Amino acid sequence: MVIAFLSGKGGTGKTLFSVNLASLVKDSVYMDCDVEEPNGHLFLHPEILNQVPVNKIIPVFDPDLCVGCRQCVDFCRYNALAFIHNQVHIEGSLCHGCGGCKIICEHQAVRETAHEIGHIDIGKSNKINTMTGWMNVIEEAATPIIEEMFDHVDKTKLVFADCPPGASCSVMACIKNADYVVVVAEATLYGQENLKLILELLTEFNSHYGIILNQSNTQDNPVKRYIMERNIPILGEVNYELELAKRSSMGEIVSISKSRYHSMFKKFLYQILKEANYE
Amino acid sequence: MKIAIPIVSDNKPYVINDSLARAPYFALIDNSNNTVKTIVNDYYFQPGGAGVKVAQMLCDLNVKVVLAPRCGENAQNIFNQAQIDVYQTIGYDLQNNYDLFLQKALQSILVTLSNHHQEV
Repeated sequence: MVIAFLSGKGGTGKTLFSVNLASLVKDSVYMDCDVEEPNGHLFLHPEILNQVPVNKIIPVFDPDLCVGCRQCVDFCRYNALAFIHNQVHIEGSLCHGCGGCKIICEHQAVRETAHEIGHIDIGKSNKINTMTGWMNVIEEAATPIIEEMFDHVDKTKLVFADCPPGASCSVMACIKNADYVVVVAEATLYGQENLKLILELLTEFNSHYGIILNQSNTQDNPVKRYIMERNIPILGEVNYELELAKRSSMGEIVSISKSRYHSMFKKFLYQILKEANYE
Repeated sequence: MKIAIPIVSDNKPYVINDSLARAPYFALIDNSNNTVKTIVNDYYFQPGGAGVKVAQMLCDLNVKVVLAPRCGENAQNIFNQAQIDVYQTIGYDLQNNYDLFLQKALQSILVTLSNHHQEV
């Protein structure tokens, strides 16, 4: 079962929850899908057992076979191609590797080549399995790496997927592969606006989800009000605590190191698994 | 020689648009006969890759010089391939910038905007 941890905005506590909860379940998988800036490894320090490269397929154009019909340029919905001085020019950062230009070319002037955009580290950290996706610097498309991670992960295990912030394609790749979604929300007005976006997306995908309210002890909590008005299931609340913040900022897995936090995260775990109908 | 300048609207006096690829219109100055005509930018609303499409369009119109406040990396790459020179405008007055270009007083744009972040 895949449990995805999402948030509209960054810094709400996705990694805090996914790392601490995964650490409570023997033989679970912690999967860091925030491939632009994975940080779960800073807590788990996994031993890397295998590294899987992730490639994007990009087209190469043969100037001898190209007749300059521009069908490929017109077809490319990502506007990655231009025809300049009798040659097709590709803007690699815009190309999604869909293969459309190769299919549309009637003159067999397009072949494809693999271009490495990142890799997946597969490892172990104490009793849990880890997967960390890494996107190479200057690359822009995170989705193929995330999709590859979901292809590789053993879904018979309990998988805690630490997802990217926002509501873009990379987040959608996580949502569609998740059996249950935990939205970690921050009690600010900005947090509320971002929460709205992610809830809209989850509704679109018909996802099964619940919300954890992080840093919930503010006098006026717009997010809590918003959630309660709409009868959205709240999995639990965490108040802001300096000790928790300090220990986490040092990379400490508090669900393992402190009994108080151990029981707090265990309660969250039971609640999540109950809501997710995990047996 | 044709010179392209992104403009806010096709009403005179022409005002230079902040963005190149997302400009609603372009002014095309032909300095061989001192004429100015305006064209609509069909790629104004493209969700992505507008820079590539605009650069292709200007290349197809046989433009040799672009005057603009800034230029994205994708468009810059196509302009480089097409050997179209891009110069950075000063202020928003089209006529003034055209005069500055003729006086060779505009700087070539070497630092571009990357796709998401402004490089300094």
